[in-house]
Amino acid sequence: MVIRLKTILLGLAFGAVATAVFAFDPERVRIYPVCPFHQWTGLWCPGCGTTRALHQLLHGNLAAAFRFNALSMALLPVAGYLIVRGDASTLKPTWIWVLLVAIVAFGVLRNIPAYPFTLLAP
Amino acid sequence: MFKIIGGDGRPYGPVSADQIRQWIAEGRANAQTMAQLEGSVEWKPLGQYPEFASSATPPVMPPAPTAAPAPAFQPRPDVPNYLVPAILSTICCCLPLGIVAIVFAAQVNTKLQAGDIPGALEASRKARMWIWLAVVLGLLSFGLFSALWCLPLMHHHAFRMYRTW
Repeated sequence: MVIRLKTILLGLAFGAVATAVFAFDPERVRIYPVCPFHQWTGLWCPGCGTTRALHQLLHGNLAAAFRFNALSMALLPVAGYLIVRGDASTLKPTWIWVLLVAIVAFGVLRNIPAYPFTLLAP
Repeated sequence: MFKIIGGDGRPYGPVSADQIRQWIAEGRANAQTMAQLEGSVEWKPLGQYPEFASSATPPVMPPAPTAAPAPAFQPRPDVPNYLVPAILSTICCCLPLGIVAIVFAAQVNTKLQAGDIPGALEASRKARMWIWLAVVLGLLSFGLFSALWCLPLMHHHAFRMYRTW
């Protein structure tokens, strides 16, 4: 019963957030919290642009979504798999290191102010 | 070497007789736990193997029908590594602290694979702690930044009220 209530509340919260992200374009409305890392450093963190990417994704614009944040779009299916799988503690540790390196590398590359890397910036 | 049926009904092993003796000592297996000698096709309770009779029988000597069910046999206890929240906290709240949390999540898996359960539990606890630190620091930083952003506006507003007054 407790688990069911938790699931319902989580589902409601998820639905509310998804509705808000669908309805309000983060590029036009300033209702979303801004990334603290970006606020303090001015650099793009690996997750910067995810809200804008999700907004585009919910409107069916896959290409625009990838332009805002390719990493979080690529990680969406991974997160889905991990949640369905349920137990991430039986994953091979190597995969977690691969994930960590990918996140850090993406964070570094998208801050390089030169042509091929600027594509990664939101 | 033996194969063994866990409390979850799934087969585990092959493992050595010494390993099974240790599991019996830890209460994770008992005389009723079904086991198969490698190479044979027959499944028998551990109590019927002479190797384990001495160590496995004492706690289950009275064969009462109301005896407690066999304790769940867990070769891999559930130690959460908080990988998904760790990634989310890296991407959404606080990058440096979230990365520490992912490192501890990886350690949980490494230690679980090596059979180091206390080490895995410790790493799991630390992963959870760093996720909370990342969330709290992210919220604090957001609050502080909003305050810094609002202060000049409030000052400006107060000044204007004062002048018109």
